[in-house]
Amino acid sequence: MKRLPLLFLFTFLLAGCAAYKELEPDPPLLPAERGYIELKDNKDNFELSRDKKYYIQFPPPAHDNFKLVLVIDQKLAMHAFLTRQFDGKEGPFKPIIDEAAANDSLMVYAVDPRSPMFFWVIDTVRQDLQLAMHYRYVPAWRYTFEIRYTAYRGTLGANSVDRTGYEGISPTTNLDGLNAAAELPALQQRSVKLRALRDELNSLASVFPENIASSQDTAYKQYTELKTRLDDELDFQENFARVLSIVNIEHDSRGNTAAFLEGVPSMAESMKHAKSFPSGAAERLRTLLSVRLDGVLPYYDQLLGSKNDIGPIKPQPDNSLVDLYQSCGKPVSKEVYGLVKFVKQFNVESEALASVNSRLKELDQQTTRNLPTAGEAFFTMQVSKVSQIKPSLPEPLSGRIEHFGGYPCAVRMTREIGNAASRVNDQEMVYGNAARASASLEAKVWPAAESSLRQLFNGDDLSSPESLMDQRTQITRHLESQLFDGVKLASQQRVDAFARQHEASYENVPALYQDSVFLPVHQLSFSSVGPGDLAAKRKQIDDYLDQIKYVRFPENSIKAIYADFIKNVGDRGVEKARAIVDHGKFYKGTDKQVKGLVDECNPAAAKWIVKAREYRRLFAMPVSTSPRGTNEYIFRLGLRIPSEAQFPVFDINIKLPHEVAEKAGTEQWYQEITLNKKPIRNEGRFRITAPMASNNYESQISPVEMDKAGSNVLEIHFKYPGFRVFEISAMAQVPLIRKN
Amino acid sequence: MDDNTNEQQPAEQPKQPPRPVQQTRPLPPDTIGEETPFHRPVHPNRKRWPLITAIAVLVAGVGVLVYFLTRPDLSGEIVIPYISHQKPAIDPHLPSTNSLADKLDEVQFDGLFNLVASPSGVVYEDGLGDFRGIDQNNVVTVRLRTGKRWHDSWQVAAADDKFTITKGTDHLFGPADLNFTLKRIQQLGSLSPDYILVSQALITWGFQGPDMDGLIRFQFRGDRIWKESDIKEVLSFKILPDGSDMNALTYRVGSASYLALPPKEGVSNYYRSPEGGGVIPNILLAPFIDNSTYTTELRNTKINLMLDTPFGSLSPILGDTAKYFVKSNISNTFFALCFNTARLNRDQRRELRRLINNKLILDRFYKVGTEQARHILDYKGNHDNYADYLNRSVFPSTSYYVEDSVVTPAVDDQPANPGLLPDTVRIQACLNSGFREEFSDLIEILNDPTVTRGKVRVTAVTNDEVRKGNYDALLIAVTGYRSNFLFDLYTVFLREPDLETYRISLQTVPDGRGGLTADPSSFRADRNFFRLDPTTDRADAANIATFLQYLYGFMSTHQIGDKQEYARRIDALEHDLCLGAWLFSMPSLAYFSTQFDASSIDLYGVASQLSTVKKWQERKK
Repeated sequence: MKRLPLLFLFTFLLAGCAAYKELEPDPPLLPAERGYIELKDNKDNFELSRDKKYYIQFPPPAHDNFKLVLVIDQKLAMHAFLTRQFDGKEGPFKPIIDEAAANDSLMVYAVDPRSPMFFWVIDTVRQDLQLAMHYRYVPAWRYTFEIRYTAYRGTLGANSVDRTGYEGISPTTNLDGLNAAAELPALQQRSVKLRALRDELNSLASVFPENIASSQDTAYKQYTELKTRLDDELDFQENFARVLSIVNIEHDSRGNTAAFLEGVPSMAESMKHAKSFPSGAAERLRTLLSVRLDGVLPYYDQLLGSKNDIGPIKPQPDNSLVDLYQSCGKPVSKEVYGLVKFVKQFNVESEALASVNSRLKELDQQTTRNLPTAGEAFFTMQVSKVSQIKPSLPEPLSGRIEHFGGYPCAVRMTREIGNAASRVNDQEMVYGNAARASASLEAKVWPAAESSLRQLFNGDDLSSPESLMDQRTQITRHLESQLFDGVKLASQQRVDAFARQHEASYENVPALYQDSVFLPVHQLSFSSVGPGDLAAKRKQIDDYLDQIKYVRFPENSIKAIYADFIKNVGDRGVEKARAIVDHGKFYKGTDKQVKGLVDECNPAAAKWIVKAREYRRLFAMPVSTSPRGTNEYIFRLGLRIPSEAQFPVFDINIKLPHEVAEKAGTEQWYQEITLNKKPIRNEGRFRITAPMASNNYESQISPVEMDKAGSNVLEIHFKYPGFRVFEISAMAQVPLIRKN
Repeated sequence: MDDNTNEQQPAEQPKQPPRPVQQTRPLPPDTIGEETPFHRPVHPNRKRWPLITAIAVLVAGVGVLVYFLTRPDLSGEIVIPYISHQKPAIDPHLPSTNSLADKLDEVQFDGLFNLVASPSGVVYEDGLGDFRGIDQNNVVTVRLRTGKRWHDSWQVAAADDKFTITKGTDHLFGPADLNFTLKRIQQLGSLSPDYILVSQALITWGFQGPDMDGLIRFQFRGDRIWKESDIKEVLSFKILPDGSDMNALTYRVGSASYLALPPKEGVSNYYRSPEGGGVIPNILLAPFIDNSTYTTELRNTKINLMLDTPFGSLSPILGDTAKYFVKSNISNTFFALCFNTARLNRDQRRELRRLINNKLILDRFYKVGTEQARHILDYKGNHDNYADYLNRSVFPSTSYYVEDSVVTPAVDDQPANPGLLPDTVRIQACLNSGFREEFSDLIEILNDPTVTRGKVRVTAVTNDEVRKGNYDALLIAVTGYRSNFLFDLYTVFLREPDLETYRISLQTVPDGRGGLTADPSSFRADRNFFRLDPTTDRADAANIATFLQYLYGFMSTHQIGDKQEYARRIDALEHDLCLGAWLFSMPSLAYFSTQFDASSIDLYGVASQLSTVKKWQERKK
């Protein structure tokens, strides 16, 4: 039981903490248009407490375009807003704009029937107060008109113009006296303001209720009367402005037909309203303009007679000229019609041709910009663009117009259109050839690519061999460069791959050098630059292929095979050595080491001893080929030992493999020993010692002269029942003087 | 060597003996020390044909058989002919004008190492030494084979048809013998090719040892890599026993495969050494009057080896390859005209040289282009390459110096001006000192007016006449020349004008720098073929003196560069002095009977043709 007071207290607190309190006016609110109604809580005003929050529900109006107007004395003592959605909690809410936010006692909201209820929410009460408040549901137009009516009348009055001068114009009036140049701007300023007023009144009219016209609504009557006066004033001002405009144009273009012609459309338009002008003014203007129109045909005759370009004819007389003639009551001759037709056609052609040329130029520029990366897709796109330009080519009709077609500009126009047509066709051909060439290049079909390039450059299918020469040259050079790069790269890649693949091969080496990889993948036969350029390109490719064929391939092969050879000369050593020699026959490089390796393996090459008293290794190779039989072997020695002697001579010591020399005691181990092809024999003046086991199978030959030219070659032939490579060591030193 | 050394070869050979000379033919004793009966005497030029013919006539059919059964049988013998009055005097350290003498060195003497031929070239066999090695300081170690006996360890007694070889007191080889030999070679100096051979290797002429192991050590020079073959080459000089006469005419005591038998008429035959000799027991020297009958004697089986053949040409009567085989060598003989500088001045000598057309002479000599042409074959297999033998310098065309262009003989194409010459240019030639056939032909050719334009008269004279020097030019044959570095100029320019005696007139004096130089007195008119004498030839005295210094420099140096330079200077100065006309060399051809197995005979040089004689074998029938 003791808990009951606490329950009440809690309920009270919860009630006291409710966010908003609804104020329910009595009498209830009515959304009808009834003027301002005081909002009461019975007979009293609602009392609002500081820092409390309240809301009042306003029912929607029955029609659109209504405003809810609230008049509050203490607007500044609170903060309130109107919203369509409200749940009594903290929101957020979307307030409807207070159209009288700047007013400290008024709130105006646009309301409509689409919301079931509007909520006027007081979220801030800055002090305790009594809410003294009137509300009004009012159509929007009325509310606005009532507020602005006085201002509208003022505007109309302030911008009305005196009509005396305008209406006083007679056929003889000196129109210069109107001072049109000054009057016209002032008049136009007034007209602007009046038109703004008319627009505002028209906007009010747009929200009139449907049955307003038949009502006796005071505000509506005031509106109608104001609007009538305004329209009349504006009609007057517009006609007056037309008159002043014509007068002003005529005045300003006096002595300048071109300027006059520039004003013709405006004047013709103005003169269409001549019936609305005072008769005197209308007559005066016809007289004025007729004089000027007489100068039009002579003017154009002179203009066209001296025009040689195909640029637009300016000023361009159009139908307004005819209209002006007619407005002025002047007969329109066939020359005038012809003039208008010709100039119009000429300018159409001029513009179209300029457009075509511009687009072609743009294509050209695109080509230039994109040429470095242009391929088949680009040139195909260019072909498409040219195709799109083609229909835009004008038909050369201006040149066919009687009388005017003979003017130089017309003749030239006809010719230029023809040229443009040719250019378009040629352009299409050029891009087509370029696209085909590019496609072939991308597909690496070099002969087809070169054929297309030749066709592109020669321009055989074009209207003239010189047509688009610069562009063709530019594209050809670009694609030609691609062709060259492509052929070169493909040739390089092919030969590089071949060289890598066969680098260590020692089977049938000469056949490797006959392979077509050492020729270009395609032999270039065309150059837009000339034979010299073609030769240079071919040379560049050939140089690379030759570099591979005669330098890198043999060089790498020789090194690789020699490294393999030297690991074990007993493992197919002869074949490897011969492969090295075969490679060496093609080698044109300058690497002395490589040449040295070749010479080491070449039985025909002398092995040079370049330092005295030092053994050097060399190989004896068979020069016959009998893998299972007896073969003939040769090795050659030469001396290049630095010596100051004029006739240096040496003992040559040769360490032989025991297999070769083991029978030297019973039979001659060598077949022949020659010095410069002349046999050396013991019976002669030379000494040959026999290689025996006791001297470690070392033979000595003496004396061997080293001539300064290094051409003395000691050559030793022997036979051995096998097919292999022998390692031999040789040493030279100053000879002993021997008795025998 | 003494400061004032006379490098003369003092011994004289005996006078020419009467012909024919009988020689006994030794057969091997069955037992060493036992008396062995001699076979019948050998009469190489005895005429048996009448008896055989008579038998043949009397007993038809049987006669032929008898002939074959009784014809001369040279089994077990190597029979070599020689000119009976040119007995080979054997000195292993000096060159000889008798080519056989040089060859017999190999038969009789050992070096520490012996150079012998093999099918593949030369090899060095152990002789009196056993090579042990060379260290990094170039000290060569050799073990002396001190157990080896000198030939005089055997006593050979000959009586009638018998000779007996008995064991005598052992005379063993020892270091003293080596020392003696080195001393002798050093004393001979540039006269001996061995001097050059050794001096280029040894810093001092001696050795250390032997030690306890019998090893001796030589200090070799450090200027080259001494290969084993080089070392053995240097130590291949022949060794004489200690106590030998330093200046003997001939040396008989050796240690090699064949020992010399007691000489008969001054000439020894050889029998294989009881200590281990050759396969074929006997080497006999068969004397003949001259070389004209050599080929006939070979065909008649009186000899079975002919180391030189007349004209050096192929013999038409020895063409049967079933009976004979040929081995050719490089030339070692050339013919020359030595101008007498005492009778012809330099201009005359020049004109005389221009007059002598050696190609014309050579063509006539070999009857080139005629049916009687003497065909030649060189060791390279070239036939009838006569032009290769023409000489244009004292250095023959076959020599290293010309062949390798060290010397480029000047060519004088000027025609001769006979007006400067004496009315008759008197040339002498001696037919009694070998090459009788060749000299006879040359005399006839030179006397032919179509060859020498009637300006020359050549007469055959005796050796005594040659010594007198009454000639404008002397036709000589220079034999045994080497085509290698050791071409011997002493033999040409310093040989005394005595064709029966080989004597070199070289006087040396100290050069003031610790060495020697040639004394100008070496050139004395009566001591060289050219009558060169700076004391009498005032005009050319300086050039002659210079020429002598060049000769000595060439012959005494062991520096090849020096040799080359001296060779050039000698050639040039000789050309200026016009000392001779260098006619042509003669091919060297040896004929062998097919009694011998050709495959067992290897040659490596003319002077060493007999180096492998101990290995020669007879062909198995």
